[in-house]
Amino acid sequence: MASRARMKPIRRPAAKNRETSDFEPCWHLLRSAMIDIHTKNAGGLSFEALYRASYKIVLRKKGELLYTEVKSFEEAWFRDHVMPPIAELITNNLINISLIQAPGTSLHERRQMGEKFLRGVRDAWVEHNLNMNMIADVMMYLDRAYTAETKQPSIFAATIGLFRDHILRNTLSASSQEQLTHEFIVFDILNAVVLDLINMERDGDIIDRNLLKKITSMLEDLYETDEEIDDQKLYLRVFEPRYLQASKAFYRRECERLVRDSDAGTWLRHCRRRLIEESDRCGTTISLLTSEKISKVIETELVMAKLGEFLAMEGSGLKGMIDNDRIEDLSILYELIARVDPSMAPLKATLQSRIMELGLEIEKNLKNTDFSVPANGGGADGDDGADAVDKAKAQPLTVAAQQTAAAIKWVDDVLTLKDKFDNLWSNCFQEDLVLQSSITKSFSDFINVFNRSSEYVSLFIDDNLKRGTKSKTEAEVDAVLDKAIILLRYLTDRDMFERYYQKHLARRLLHNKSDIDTEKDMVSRMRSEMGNAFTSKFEGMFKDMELSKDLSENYRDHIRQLGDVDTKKVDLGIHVLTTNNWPPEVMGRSANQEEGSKVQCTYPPAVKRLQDSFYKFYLKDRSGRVLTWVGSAGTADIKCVFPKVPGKETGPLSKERRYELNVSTYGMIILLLFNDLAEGESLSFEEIQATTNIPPQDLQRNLASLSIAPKARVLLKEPFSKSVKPTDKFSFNTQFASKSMKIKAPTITAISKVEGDDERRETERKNDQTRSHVIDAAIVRIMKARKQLGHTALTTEVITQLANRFKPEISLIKKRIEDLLNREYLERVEGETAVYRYLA
Amino acid sequence: MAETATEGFVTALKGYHNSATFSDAVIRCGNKEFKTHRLVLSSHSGFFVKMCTGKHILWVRLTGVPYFQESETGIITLEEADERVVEAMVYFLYHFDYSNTQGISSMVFNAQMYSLADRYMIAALKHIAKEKFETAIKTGWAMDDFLLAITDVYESTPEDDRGLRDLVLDVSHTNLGKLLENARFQELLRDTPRFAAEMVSYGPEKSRRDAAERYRCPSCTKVNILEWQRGSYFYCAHCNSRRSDWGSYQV
Repeated sequence: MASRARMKPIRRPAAKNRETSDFEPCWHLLRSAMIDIHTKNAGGLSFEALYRASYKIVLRKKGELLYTEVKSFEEAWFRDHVMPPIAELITNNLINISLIQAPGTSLHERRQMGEKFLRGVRDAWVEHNLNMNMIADVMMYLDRAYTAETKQPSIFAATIGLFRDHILRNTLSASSQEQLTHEFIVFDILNAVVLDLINMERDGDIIDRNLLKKITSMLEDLYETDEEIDDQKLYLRVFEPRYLQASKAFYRRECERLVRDSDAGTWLRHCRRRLIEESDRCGTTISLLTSEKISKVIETELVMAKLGEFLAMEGSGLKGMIDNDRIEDLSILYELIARVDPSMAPLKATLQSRIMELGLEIEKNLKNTDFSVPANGGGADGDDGADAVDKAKAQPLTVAAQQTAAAIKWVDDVLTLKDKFDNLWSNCFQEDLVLQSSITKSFSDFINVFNRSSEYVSLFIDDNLKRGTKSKTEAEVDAVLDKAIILLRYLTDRDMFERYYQKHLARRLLHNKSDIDTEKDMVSRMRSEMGNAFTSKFEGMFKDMELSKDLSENYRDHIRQLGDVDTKKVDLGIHVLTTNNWPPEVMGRSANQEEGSKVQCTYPPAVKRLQDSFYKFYLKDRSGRVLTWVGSAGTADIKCVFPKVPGKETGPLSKERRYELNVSTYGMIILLLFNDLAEGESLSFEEIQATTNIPPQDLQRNLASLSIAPKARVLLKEPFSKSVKPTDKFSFNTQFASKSMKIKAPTITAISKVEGDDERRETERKNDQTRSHVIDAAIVRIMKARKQLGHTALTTEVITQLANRFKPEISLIKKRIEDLLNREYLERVEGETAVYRYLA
Repeated sequence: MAETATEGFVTALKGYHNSATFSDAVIRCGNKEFKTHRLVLSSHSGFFVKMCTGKHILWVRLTGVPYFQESETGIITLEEADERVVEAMVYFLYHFDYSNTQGISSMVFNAQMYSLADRYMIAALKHIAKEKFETAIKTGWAMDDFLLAITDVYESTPEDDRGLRDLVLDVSHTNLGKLLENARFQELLRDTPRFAAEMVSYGPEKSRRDAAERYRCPSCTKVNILEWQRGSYFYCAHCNSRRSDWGSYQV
């Protein structure tokens, strides 16, 4: 095999002394090729031949020589052929304009001259770049076997850098510019021209974007050194800082101009436009590397710098935007602020204070509004007599009705305000959570500052539920209930609300004024919003009502089975109410509770019999229960017969008249007294009181309803006046006539009116009392668990525990703690200040 | 059935060897001509990328200034290379393997293939040529063409490229006694001073290398050859950092 090999010798690159002799011809070949490349004659060159030439040089260990030769060739070429045309472009005029900003040249001139210079630089760069690429391609083997091994910059990096060293960093010392205080390099001119052009574009001129893009990408391709370290691009190191600085100055000036000449709306749109423009500019004219940084510049200089001043502008500022629902303005504002401050601080503060102001305005308006004139459509009609509507228009409203109207107006206004801000929140603020919570907080703040909010919310519900069954569709009622729940969320004193709602609900239920399904719906909404504990009383009330209905029916059956006709056709509908579930007022123990005496009025024998009969029936299944009859809360339908008035031959009085009169239980008791009275006789107030033992206030009210209101004046009062006095006398009104068969005596207690000041103070006092107990319970519960706790910690804990019900006052908590110390539930820990221990 | 994801592709590629289908480049060497594909060539080596690329540089297309002639004509003439080696190289570009079918001494053939692969920057071919060369000289060192191969190795690969040189030295060192009996070998030593010099230092170097272990310095990442023992410390020869945990950086 060896012999065969020698017989067919392989052709091999011969000659022993090639190592040195090869260099000259190869370099010669390469050198002339490089000239061809520079003079655009490369078409005929064989890449393989050139590559092979450089390969051979490197293989013969002359790589270093080749490297330096190429470099010096390019340097020389650069000096002789590339720089002169550029130098020509750098005229004194250009220097004047770009660096000294000498006056006296038109914008157009400046742009032309700048673009001409840039075009020259660009052309030189593009050509240089291509040539260096071609030469580096030929020298591939050099880069791989020599440059990389010796850790030098690649031949491309070393030659492309010439552009930086000999053009961009060329000092302009030769130019006789006395005005220039220190030396400048071409790079300075380049930057100045580019920045000038960009500013022209910002001012609305049209410039050659492609040209600028080429220049900036050149700066991206060049590095501070031939090592080409990534973060040392000339673009990042030199151009970008100046660009940002110039932009800063530009936008600072612009912002000052805007704050002087424009309104906030213009400013907002301008900011938005500039942000889009600059971001576009990064894509089309400079580099995407700058996008974020330039946005930052606009954010600080244009958005933030005068933010406060713009927002405070009269009319067009934030207040104006909110008041006039300038959706677009606010949307832009939100977007801008979201960019710079995720906490939304500037927007939040104004928004909150504006809500507070508007909220307090509602309250103020309420005080200034005259509710004595009924609102349109009788909407404020607190009385529910259907036939009273037409009269109500003519008559001034009662005080109670006025207050109800005020409550409804307040709620409506608050809801309108809420709608307004909800609308802004979803349309402008992108449903921002931070803003949502601050809006909610502001609403909660002003609502709770208003001391009647709990009562008004309850009254609003009351009014809507009472009327809901009549005129509104299901969907409308639904919407109202939703709104009520929204308001409910804002209330901090929920126990106050509970108290009012209980009172109003009791009246509605007992007088059957609302649709029970709607009532239940409302309460179930409250339950899901505030928890079971909150609604347990209300549900108990519903249950009582249902049980009572069954009870009444059973009792009726029971009576029928007995066949007892002795009841004189008195039909009993009874509500058995569990004491704890119902408000004390309804249970007839309002003010008297403290005095310890429950007033029990004297019922007429017929009624008394009925009561006993029912009590017996009731106890059959439930022994040991006590029933208290609450006369103030019930009603009675009485069939009255008014005999023919003698001497009247025509008109209603000429016949016998039968009416069905609906009065309160007290009213019934009073009227029954007159049954036994001979014609012409009268009873004095005191006599009635003595006989019936009805509390004087109730008596007064009931007598008023029977003797003053014209539509149910079945009693005559002597002397006749608008109010009932203890000295008045009453007699049967034989002349009474009415168009309708059924007459309802205006039952004053049934009206859910706004409390008077005294009443409210009373309610608050009671509420505070309840709160004291609740706080006591909380303290004991906490101390039982903790055994020992400091004063501050205990206070905080109490507030947290009760947050869902109300906001206890610190002073009250302190008082309760002291009280518990006195009652020896707690003791002070000796030697430590304000630390308590639980005493089991 | 496919062992790797590329298997089907590799099989199909073989079908395009010297095929006119889609061919857009011709490699010429001596009297031979091979139909090839720029994409295949470029996938193997940056050399071919640069050679074929010109037409596709946007600026060249816009200005009409041509790049090198190969990119225009698609004809790649390789000179100063044996056409039989070039033929095998082209075969490799499509088959990822080659064989010496020309009856040339396989030691010389593979040495030249290695050099050619280095010249045109075809890394995979270089690797496979080295393996084939090693097998060839281990069995064929006693023949005269081993001496030709040595000359080729020392003339046609760069000095820093230890790939074939160390193999040659190792085989020569192992069989030095026998080789020295050959007058031609002695002549070779005289004619190729680099080889002679490396032979002289190879023996001690080798025994030292066998005894020592190689460690990569964690601070400068360079490799140290140390006779390190647990418990002692050494300075890195490159960055002078002192450490006693070389054991963790053995390579």
